[in-house]
Amino acid sequence: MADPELGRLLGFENDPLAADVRDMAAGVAEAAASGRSAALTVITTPDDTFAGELFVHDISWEHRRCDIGLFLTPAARRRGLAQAAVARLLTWVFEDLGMERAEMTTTTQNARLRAFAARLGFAEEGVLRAHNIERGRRVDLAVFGLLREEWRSRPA
Amino acid sequence: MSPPIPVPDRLRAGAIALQPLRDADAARYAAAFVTDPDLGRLIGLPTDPDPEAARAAARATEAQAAEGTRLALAIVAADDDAFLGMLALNRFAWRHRRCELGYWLDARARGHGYATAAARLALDWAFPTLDLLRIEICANADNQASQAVAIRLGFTREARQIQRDLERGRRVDVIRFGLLREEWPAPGS
Repeated sequence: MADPELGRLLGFENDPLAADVRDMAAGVAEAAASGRSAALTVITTPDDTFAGELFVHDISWEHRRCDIGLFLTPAARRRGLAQAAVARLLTWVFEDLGMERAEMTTTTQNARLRAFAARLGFAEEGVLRAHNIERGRRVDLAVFGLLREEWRSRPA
Repeated sequence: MSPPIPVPDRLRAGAIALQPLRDADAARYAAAFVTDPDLGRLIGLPTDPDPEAARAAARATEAQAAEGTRLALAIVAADDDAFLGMLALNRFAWRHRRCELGYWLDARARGHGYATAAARLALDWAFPTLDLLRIEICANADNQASQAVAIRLGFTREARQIQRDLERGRRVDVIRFGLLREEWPAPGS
């Protein structure tokens, strides 16, 4: 099962090939060591099946904030995995990395991600018009923010 | 890939001009942060610059432009080159053909529309010269003067990001403004 819309929604200039993914995996440790970004794979147990990827990027240590992103394979969707994975990631970002604010961005057409961000407690803070060029098209970007104290005081 | 940014020798409009920062500006540059003790915090500097930091900024201009990461220019009086403030284009995202615009004025140079005039000069120059499609202004929510300049230039207020930045130990809201190339020049701006 494939999702031809995924690359565009994630803002990838081209859909990655297996070799590109191997290159990305090779670069993950270096990017993390330099403090720039982190990428973590979501797997389903017990068979270690690849289910998606979580990203922490645009880390600003000066402002103690970062951007987070994710995708799941089509087979892994609609089971609550995204919410569970990102909730765990947010706790890591706030409590272990010491971030005080997390951000998400998405093109305004991505209704699924906008609803997902809202469910996690992110506030939609505005729309940056024609902010990015994705595959030759100018797209509007919705920006979301979540503060550490909001995350800590979320309803159980 | 970041293309090099050509550094203009001098851009002039009426009473002000934009030109590369000089060593001779260092004393007035640093003094601006003494005259207005809130300035450094409002524009997001972790510490106030001293004259040596100003000279370092002057020396860095060419290299930053050559790397395609930043173009910083002094705002000066057109008649005698007296230093009035700074303007910078930075945070370039060349793939998305956009950057950010920032500016500040010495307290003694405020109230004459110099920041608006300087920003207008920079926008007139940057959109065609750098082939940009979008220019942004990010202002500390406390910085009313900066936001007033953005509105006067025809920027759209697009977001208020709650406690986005950490400035000298305090989290502050950031107001984001955007201007698209097809909106410039705005009628009446």
